[in-house]
Amino acid sequence: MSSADQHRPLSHDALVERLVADAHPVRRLWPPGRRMGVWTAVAGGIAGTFAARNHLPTAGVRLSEPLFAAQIAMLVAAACWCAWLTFRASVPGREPRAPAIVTAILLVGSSVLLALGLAPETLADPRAFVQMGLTCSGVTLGLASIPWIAGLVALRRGAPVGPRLGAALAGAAALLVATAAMRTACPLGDARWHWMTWHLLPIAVGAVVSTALGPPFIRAWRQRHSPVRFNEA
Amino acid sequence: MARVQQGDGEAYRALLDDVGPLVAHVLNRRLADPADAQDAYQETFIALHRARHTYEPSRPLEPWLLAIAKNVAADFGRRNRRRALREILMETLPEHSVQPARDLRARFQRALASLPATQRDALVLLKLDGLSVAEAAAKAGTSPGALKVRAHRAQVAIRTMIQP
Repeated sequence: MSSADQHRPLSHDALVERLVADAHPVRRLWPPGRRMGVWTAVAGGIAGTFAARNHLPTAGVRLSEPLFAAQIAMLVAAACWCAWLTFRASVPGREPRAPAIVTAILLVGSSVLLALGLAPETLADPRAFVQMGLTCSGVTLGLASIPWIAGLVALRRGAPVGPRLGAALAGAAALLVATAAMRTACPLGDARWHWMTWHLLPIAVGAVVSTALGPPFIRAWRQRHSPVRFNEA
Repeated sequence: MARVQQGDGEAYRALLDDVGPLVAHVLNRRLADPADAQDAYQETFIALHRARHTYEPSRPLEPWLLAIAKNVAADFGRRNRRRALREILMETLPEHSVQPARDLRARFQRALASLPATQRDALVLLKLDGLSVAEAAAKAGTSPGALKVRAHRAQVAIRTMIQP
């Protein structure tokens, strides 16, 4: 027995036989860059179409305002970075490390800081504040739904070793790109508390929800579509 | 690995033989219990099999493989910590068994014989032959999860049958 054999558990040969018996061709996962390109086309297409049809009359002019342009740029940058990390997270060995996560947090944090530059409104009518806010959050969620599902599908097509993190990033990316589109369309987008409560806070809430709901969704799919077929009980 | 993705069985066998010692080394370093390390070894290979479509031939194999092995080891570590929290250690063992041994053995044999074959096999492989879950599953030709379900159902059925 060679020294390599001595290090292996006794069942190695039986295990190898079983796996080799199941060695059929597999469709290779697209590289993260290509998958990112497809996701960007889908998410960008939805957000761009929405913004083109629903933007405020002043939105075009306001793009020359530094704060307005910086807010949109930061949201788009954060969305792209989170999406990129999502696609990396679906490949073992390429999952995002701490510096990449910190960068994502800083980008999202910068969006919050920029919102602090908006003028605070007086909350004279709480009911109107909630009603308008719920409408905005609902539209954002609707815009984010397809990119969100696309991100989760991309994750489950891969083999994420950290499905919670991947799901959180997928949720954040989708909501960030939707929020960027909403910045051009929301009539109360310049009101600080409205923007922070009904546009920025839902990004964090969505990421948490995605963290909780994403992994079971990914696992269920992976079990059903696993290339290894075992007899069920 | 690119040939493995194309379904080349011989290349797959060679690859698994090559990476076996590295996987075993990583798992033995991360898991204190040799039985856990052996189970994790098998789970790592199954995870590798399920994830083989994610490997990019232009990139080195080792980080991809080690990420899978370390993730399986981390899962085992988490499972062990959860189990340790649930277990209650007794200071002294009970002096007498609850049931008289002779009668119990006969009833157990009758109950075992009356089980469906799949449940009986699962229980025998896992509890009487002392195989690990992964080994027993491989021998029974089923998944570890399905085997555990069968063994659990067998235990429940036997417990019901041998209760006086």
